[in-house]
Amino acid sequence: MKPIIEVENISKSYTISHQTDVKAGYDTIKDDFAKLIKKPFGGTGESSRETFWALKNLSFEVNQGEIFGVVGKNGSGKSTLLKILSRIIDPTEGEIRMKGRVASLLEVGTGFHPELTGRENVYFNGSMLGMSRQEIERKFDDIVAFSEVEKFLDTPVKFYSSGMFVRLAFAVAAHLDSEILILDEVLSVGDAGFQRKSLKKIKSTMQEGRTVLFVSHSMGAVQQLCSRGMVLKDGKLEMIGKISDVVNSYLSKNLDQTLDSLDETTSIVKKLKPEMYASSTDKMRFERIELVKKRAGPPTLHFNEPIEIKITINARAPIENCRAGITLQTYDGTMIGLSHSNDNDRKNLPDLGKGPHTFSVRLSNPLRPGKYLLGVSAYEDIKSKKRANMYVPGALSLEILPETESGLIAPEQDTSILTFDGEWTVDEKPD
Amino acid sequence: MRSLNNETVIKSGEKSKLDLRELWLYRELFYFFAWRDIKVRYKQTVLGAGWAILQPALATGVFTLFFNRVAKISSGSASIPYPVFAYLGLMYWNAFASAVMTVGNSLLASSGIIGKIYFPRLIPPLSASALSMVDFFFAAIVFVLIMLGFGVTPGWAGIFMAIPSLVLIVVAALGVGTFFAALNVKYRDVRSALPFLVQIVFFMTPVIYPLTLIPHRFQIFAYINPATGAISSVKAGLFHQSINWAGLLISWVSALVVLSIGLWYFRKKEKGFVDII
Repeated sequence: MKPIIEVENISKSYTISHQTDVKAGYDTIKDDFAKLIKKPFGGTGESSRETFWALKNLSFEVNQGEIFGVVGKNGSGKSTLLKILSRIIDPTEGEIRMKGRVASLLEVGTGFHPELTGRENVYFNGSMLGMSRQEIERKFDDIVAFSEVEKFLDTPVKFYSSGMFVRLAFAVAAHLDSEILILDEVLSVGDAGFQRKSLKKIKSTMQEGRTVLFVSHSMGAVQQLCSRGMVLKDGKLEMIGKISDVVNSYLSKNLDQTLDSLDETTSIVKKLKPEMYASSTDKMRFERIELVKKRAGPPTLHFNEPIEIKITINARAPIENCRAGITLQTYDGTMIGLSHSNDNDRKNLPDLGKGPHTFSVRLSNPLRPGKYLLGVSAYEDIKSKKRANMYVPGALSLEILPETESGLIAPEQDTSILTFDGEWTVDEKPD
Repeated sequence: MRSLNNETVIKSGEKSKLDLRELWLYRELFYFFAWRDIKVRYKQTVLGAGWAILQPALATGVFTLFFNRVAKISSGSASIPYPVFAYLGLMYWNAFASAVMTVGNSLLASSGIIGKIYFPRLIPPLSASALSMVDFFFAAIVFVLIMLGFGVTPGWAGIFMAIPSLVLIVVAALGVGTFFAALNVKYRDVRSALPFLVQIVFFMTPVIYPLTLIPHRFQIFAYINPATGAISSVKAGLFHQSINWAGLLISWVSALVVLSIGLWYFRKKEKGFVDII
């Protein structure tokens, strides 16, 4: 079967001018006149101008019914590609063929007018995204139900909370009925519940035989949604293939940039800047945090693989009754769990002498596949105003892979954060 | 299985054509744009659509006082009350001036949308021109009342000319407007220069003075300005004077030339809008 999207050798260049004075990007007639006077015959162009290739010789194909993920760092050309595919900008070189209607959503809520009511905006925005009026009328109730803003439909959207606004805006776009749907980082809107709902909605579009091109920074979302994908780097194709390979390749090359070193051994080590991670009275500081791993590579753990952390604290003065701790949060800030060094024995509060001390902990791992933030804390458990206390909420980022170490796929549980290792029995005897 | 018969091909360096079929496909968006602008325009105003009437009415008052009473400029005929004469001219002129300005700024006004969603770039200028037509119709209702008040009986020729003159105004304004809209994307000077240019053309157009004030042999040149043809023919028709058909033809030819230049320049620059907007 022929692919539904064929991209052949697409390039896009921009001319960037290095202006010495601070000025907006657009020209004034005066500037062009001045140039004309300085160089009446055009000349060879100014030396201060430089060609920048946002995309260079990019070719790929997408088949019908695929959800195709595009990943890459900021500035890798993802958005430029989506804009070209959406016909917003013109490629400098190359050719693209797409079969069927193309709808794109590059930003949630573009074209929403603050003075218009929710109802009016649904019609206006829907029409702008390419829906006909009958189509909007037919889907209107679904859109409203999905957005959960029924009560405020006749209120101007300028009075909406930001959550209501994005929910309504996304709802319109989610009901687009085109063969090809182009989405740019649009799943990062709304609260966690709404994000899951949106994710589900997009998944269901695949079952209808629609093709989705999906850009996201969230490897979790990409991995959950897409079947195939590619990595862009500096406007070029770095790799294309199965989504798990794409995500692994991307993660291994683009580690969380807050990490100082990926490991002398196999562990993820984060050295903390002492001035940022000192306790309130500077009696102690965090020195390093280590995620102990069995394999080299990014800060990922398998599903169910225990979490082993080493926290090194440097005491600059003797510390009494010291307690260390670990926190786990989702990326939207929900606290999932805590663990403290004295959890099993309240009185286990050692006094520390001057110098470095390392707390080690091994946690069972009930986390579902996805990205989490790991925080560290240390505390002097004494009744004194001068007690030391420090907490770094997102010291490390941690990703849980969708498979166990032995290759079993994590159970399907879309809406939860934790999986409990339950032992189930059933009474099979008849009464 | 969905039908995959319509194929989109994007090629680099392809010249954009004036794709009327595509414009027709997007006609609903045109309505929605116009509808939104009309809706938003008078939100949070006390007078609302009253402004459409008040603007020409107040201007008529001012011109009657200063041009007619003080500077002794008349309507050119004793049987035509100056306020009726001036209001009629201003009604058409305002349609032209506001269409040129809103069309000229329409692309910048919707730059946020243009950078994120594809639709024919001619849609914002087209629907912007519709907005000034709405004001025209409000003002026209009041014009009927003014004629009744001053006891002026309109000539049939003028009634027949009313709509064709408006069309001529729109064609010319769209031509000028689309040219400046495209220019505005690159040169923001347009935003400042446009009101000034419109003001100059206002004094070159027989809006508040009769065309007969211009020496007879130069009158034909005044018709190169399409607004002259539109305004003086509807005036002549309504006030039982003879219409200068040769002049009107010149105005139409000029308006169509202006529209062609405007659309040509717009299309030439269309594909690059987002790169520099």
